[in-house]
Amino acid sequence: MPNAFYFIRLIHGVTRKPCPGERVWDAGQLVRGSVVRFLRARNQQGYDIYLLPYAEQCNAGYILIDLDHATADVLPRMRANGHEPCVVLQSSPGHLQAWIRVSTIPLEPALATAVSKQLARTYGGDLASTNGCHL
Amino acid sequence: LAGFTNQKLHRRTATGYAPWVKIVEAHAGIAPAAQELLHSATQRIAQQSAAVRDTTYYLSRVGNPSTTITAHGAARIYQSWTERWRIRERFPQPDWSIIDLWLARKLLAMHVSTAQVEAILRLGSPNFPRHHGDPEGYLRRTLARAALPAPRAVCSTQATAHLLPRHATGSDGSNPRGGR
Repeated sequence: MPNAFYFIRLIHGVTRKPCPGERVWDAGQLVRGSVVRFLRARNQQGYDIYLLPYAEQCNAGYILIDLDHATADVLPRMRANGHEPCVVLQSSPGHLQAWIRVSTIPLEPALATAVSKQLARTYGGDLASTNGCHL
Repeated sequence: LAGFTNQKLHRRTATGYAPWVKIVEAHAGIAPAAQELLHSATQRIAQQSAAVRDTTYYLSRVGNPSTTITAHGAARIYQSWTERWRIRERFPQPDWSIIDLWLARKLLAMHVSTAQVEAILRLGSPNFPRHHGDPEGYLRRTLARAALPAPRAVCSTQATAHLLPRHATGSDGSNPRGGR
């Protein structure tokens, strides 16, 4: 997901409390060994690492769909409809997250949310995760 | 993502470990149908804005919340929302009682007074009172139900089955239908 900046949040998997401090890093910082080690260490301490392409008050042009209950044919259907994800993550067995790039320029949050809702409805995604700036 | 795990307790494996987060696929590039997606989303937002604008405009002309809106204003508000929800396109034979309920919920959520919502339904709902033997009772029950928390998002595509006419579903329908 190429982007100038990324918003990083660390949220504890059990307490759901965020690790103090919000971080906006550029791509160069994010791939630095020391940063990756820092994130891995926090992850081992129980924090989930959330990452969002960052565009200040806007959406950076990437839409996240949470495919927790999707059917097996969801990815082929997305490709067939021209909604090919640029990144698909398996956050745990049977639980996918798909990022779809829809714009190279930032989108107004309302527009990003509308696109996100449309995609979630089409592919059985989680409607609770359709805020255009959802992490 | 090498070395990263999902720390949520309810995602733990049978052996109690946090599952690895894996990249299934990744490639740069914009979705081929991105333009169409943005276009249809923009249209939906514009329709919603028009419906909100019409509602605000016609209600503001009434002035006093206890005064009844005109038939034209009520019809325009009702039509704006049915266009916004694409009712005619999605449901060839909509059950207008369900649309009444959706609209009542929407308007109450916009802090429109119950008297005005009732007037909008009475004057704007297509062919009202239709088959209802007790129109006032029907409106009262619809408003009472609309004031309860919605079981799901209104006008979601998942609600399609509830929009089919009662004779098509064999269902005994819901309270707002007005039957005895």
